[in-house]
Amino acid sequence: MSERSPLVIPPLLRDAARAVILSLAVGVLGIFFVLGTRQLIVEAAAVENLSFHDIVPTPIEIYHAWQQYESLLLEKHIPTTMWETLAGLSIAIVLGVAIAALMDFSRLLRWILYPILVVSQTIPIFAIAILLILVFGFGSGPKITVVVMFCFFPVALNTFAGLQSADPELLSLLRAMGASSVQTWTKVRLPAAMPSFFGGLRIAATYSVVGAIFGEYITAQYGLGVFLKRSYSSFRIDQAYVAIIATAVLSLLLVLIVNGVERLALRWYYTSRRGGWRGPGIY
Amino acid sequence: MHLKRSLMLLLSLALMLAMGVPAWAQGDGTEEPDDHLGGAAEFARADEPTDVILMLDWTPNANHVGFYAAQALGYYDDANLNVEVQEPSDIQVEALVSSGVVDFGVSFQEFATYAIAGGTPVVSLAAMIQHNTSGFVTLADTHPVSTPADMAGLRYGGFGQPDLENAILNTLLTCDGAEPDSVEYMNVGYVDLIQLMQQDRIDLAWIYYAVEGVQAELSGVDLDAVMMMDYFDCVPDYYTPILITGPELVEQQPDVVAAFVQATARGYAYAIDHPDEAADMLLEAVPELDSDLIHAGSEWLAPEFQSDAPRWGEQQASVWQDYTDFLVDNGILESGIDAEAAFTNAFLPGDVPAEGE
Repeated sequence: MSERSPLVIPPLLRDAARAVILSLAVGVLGIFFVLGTRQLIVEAAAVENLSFHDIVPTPIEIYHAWQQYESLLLEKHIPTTMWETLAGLSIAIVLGVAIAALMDFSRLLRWILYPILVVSQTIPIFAIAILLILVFGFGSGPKITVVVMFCFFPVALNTFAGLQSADPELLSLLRAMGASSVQTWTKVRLPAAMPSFFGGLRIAATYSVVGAIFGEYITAQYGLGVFLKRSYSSFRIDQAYVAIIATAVLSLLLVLIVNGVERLALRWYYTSRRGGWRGPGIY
Repeated sequence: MHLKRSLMLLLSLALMLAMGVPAWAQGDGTEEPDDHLGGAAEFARADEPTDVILMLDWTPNANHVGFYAAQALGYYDDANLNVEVQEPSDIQVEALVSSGVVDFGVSFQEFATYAIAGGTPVVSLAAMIQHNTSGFVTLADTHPVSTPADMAGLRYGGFGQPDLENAILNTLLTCDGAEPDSVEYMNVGYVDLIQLMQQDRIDLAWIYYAVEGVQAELSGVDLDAVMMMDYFDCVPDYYTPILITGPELVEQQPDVVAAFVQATARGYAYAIDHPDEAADMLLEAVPELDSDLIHAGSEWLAPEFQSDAPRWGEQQASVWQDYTDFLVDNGILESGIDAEAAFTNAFLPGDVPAEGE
């Protein structure tokens, strides 16, 4: 491969550069798409005599709203939401992997746990809002719990699928060589599960910030969810969009961090694949 | 080193106090007309420093200025209370108050009545606004209304309690000589109702005038309104919102209840006389709110908080009785609640002559 390229660029740097260029290109395209769609809707709204402007603010208005609340958001709301998100995501990772391991370990546990996992995802958060407050009070507890409920499911299911996907030939080889079950686990199953674990983690990271906002919506002192709710009830759509965009940016950042960690952790996996490293996810 | 630092801290604290005290004394010194507070000059204090949680009905709005004024002016401190405010969504405040998870809550007579009838005991401590300030509104240009009969044939955007909403609509319609059920009910939930009317999705909405009505005025939308307060002979008046607590707190810590209610009453007394300053206090605590909306709402509500009552918060047994009767008559409740047990004026400050009801 390196014979073909006259310039030897370190692969990690090359990947990073490619990711940046791709992100920029997609970003620019995205902006055009959003602005174009917006223009279309504005015109459609004008025809229908709807007050579209009240529903979607202009970028300048959003920017002014951001300026007005910049310090409050940066000092209070965003750190609160991030703390809840990261704490919840961390617990979700531990819980998800533990559940996956239990399900992988015993067929009986799998039969018991699987329906519980699925049911856990069908509970509307607002239906258990009072329960969350009764158990965890008014601190960050209920919000972190909501994040965990949003996030442990994809981690658990994906990790479990990964554990199950270990190469059977490799497993029988190890067994034939007299490996203990702990050794099979650490040497074959766990490494085999890593790619799908990261796949699950990426989904979890995507939903985690929204989970925290759902939790804050129930009741909170600070957080993007509180900011969003107060904005809506004050009829300040421009402010609400600040919260929406901040949520999107934070989620994107988290996913990028997961991708980065995956890159570092699973280099062996992807470099061993045909066609070389294509990077996790899309970029 | 440590000594120096703590000395510095003490010094700065003393400075802050010295600077803070005159401002506080000034705020307190403005002669407060006693009639909001039943002539009281002294107010209850909790026996020992107590943390209490107040749960609002929704995000803070102009209805709540009295709480924030009491907080900002140190009335809660005077009462030996440390008040934490929670702003919930879609939570039954009544259940949390009744179970003692929160100490005080903002509710409405209709929800409190349902809660009591459903076995969740709560006690109303004060009527935050003396009369019902809600009303049915339309866009004046497209669907002008002046009396309830004009509402016939319109599409009503309801918030999801069709039994209650239809009962009230139908009672208003029949009182005014129109056919009942001539308004089309559409469940739209909690959304910006004025916007829905502008988009021609609904024609009629039931709003709190101090919030949505004031917002419409500010944005230059011309509304026609059938105000509930003009039809109290037809649909009985009810208190909305109210300050509630659980029966347990009333029994076990009456000192805390009295301290909280009286400090809150002082806050509302201040808001009645200083709507602008009270609005600023709310905005100081919750800066995300729209300043114009809060100021206009506070201004609009100032004369309504106490209205014609002998003091802020005063409730009458007849209002509780008439409303529970209305709910029973319309089949919304199977049996009425004990109106006398649903509320108490006992914790309000001062003393007023008993109503001749």
